[in-house]
Amino acid sequence: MSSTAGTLSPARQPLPPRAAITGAPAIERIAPWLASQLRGEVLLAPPRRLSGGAIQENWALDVTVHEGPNAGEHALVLRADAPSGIAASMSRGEEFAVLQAAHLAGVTVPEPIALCEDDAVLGRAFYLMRRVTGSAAGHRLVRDPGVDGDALAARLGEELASLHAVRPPFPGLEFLPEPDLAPAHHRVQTYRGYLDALARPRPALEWALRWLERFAPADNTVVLCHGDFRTGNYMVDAGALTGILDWEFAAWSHPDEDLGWFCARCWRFGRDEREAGGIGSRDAFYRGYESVSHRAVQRDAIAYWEVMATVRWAVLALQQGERHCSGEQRSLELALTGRMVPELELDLLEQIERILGVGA
Amino acid sequence: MNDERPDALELLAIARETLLEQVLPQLAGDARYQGLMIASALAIALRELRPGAVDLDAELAFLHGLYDHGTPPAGERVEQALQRLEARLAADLRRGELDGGPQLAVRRLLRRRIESRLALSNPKRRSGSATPARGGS
Repeated sequence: MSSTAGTLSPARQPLPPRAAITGAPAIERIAPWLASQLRGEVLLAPPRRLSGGAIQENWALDVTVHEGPNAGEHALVLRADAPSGIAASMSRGEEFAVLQAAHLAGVTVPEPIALCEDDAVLGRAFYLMRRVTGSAAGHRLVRDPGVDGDALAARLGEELASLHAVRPPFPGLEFLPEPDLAPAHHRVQTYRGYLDALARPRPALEWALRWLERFAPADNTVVLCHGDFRTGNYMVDAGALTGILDWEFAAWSHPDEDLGWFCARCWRFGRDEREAGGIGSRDAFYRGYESVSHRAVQRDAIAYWEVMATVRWAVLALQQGERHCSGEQRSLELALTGRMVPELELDLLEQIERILGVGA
Repeated sequence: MNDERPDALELLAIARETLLEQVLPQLAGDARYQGLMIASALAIALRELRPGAVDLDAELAFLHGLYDHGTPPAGERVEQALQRLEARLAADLRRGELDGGPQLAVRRLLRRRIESRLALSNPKRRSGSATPARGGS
């Protein structure tokens, strides 16, 4: 599901035309700006485009600073909007602010370095962060015998708890809306809105959404949630976590939403028996979380949010199929994702029946 | 319909066989992933085009198990009847009209409709079996 799963966006609207980044030579235009940011003469090695990201472009930048407080070699990533015409859910400036908040909270993220919102520099906003080593490829990670899965799951639990310590209001994050409704009701309303925008009704999803509405948790706590915290969105090098990525869906929401998304079956990359992200056990993940949050993880609450996760995935798959069918973005992967909806609907039916303790 | 041989189904079948047996073994990395996706798309199309694969009358019968036939609008085709009842079911579910009603019947109806679609898109996924994850980064 490379680059497709992280594209849940309420309204994709074409962006006004603007100067496209045409490639590495354009990136090199930032050298003078970079010199002022890093306070020294800089030498820029030819930038390399990194894989992934239909909505954003990521470039690896190797920078040598010759003098001053930052003298030395810097391995960086430049992240800018890609000229895809697809509206992102968050601006680069907002994403940078979230990254800073996470960094400040002690979460292992690529260190945010500098933001540039002056279009004169590159033609669009971008930011720089320190490059972390390793790979984010989920399907390889879940099959890597060199990874101690439970240790990694526990570590990710700790990381998530550190993030969830960030509560509103938080300086710099004023742009994140605080939901008027309890987080679960807010999600139900949002997903119903997505369904209404599609041509055909989906009774199975309506059934699940009604169940989610009726049994929404009473707890209205909101914290800073990652919004797409799952295997595939963090980097691992030699079995160790090096950075949590893809912050564009961050939101004030219920902490269990992140826990449920991480454990949902659709993110186990086929390693169904490892219920925490396809890498480790729930116990290890929850233990890590609890060791930092000092809040006991309620298993039935996570089961609720896993149903929400499957609904989100199904809505996402419908939207992706529609993106292909409407001609907005012709793609075999999007087309096939559209045909995954029935199996997600069956997942939903089985998840809820398990919670209800009833069979078919 | 065209009566030339091979027909559309036979062409799709041999195209998929050739892809799997002769083309895919020569592919690696991203090209192999694309090849597997093409094979998967062809498999779905083959199942869906097989005569009798989509039984709209049976689907309508499921819905009539929950909703009376009533008096359908004059000249309504089976596709239209399906759409009308499906929209009604979706709206009733959202409004909570079926909360206190026959829950078991509703779940059975949903399951049947899902399984008839899964028979086309992913027949390996049956009740109680795991969903194989596809692709991913």
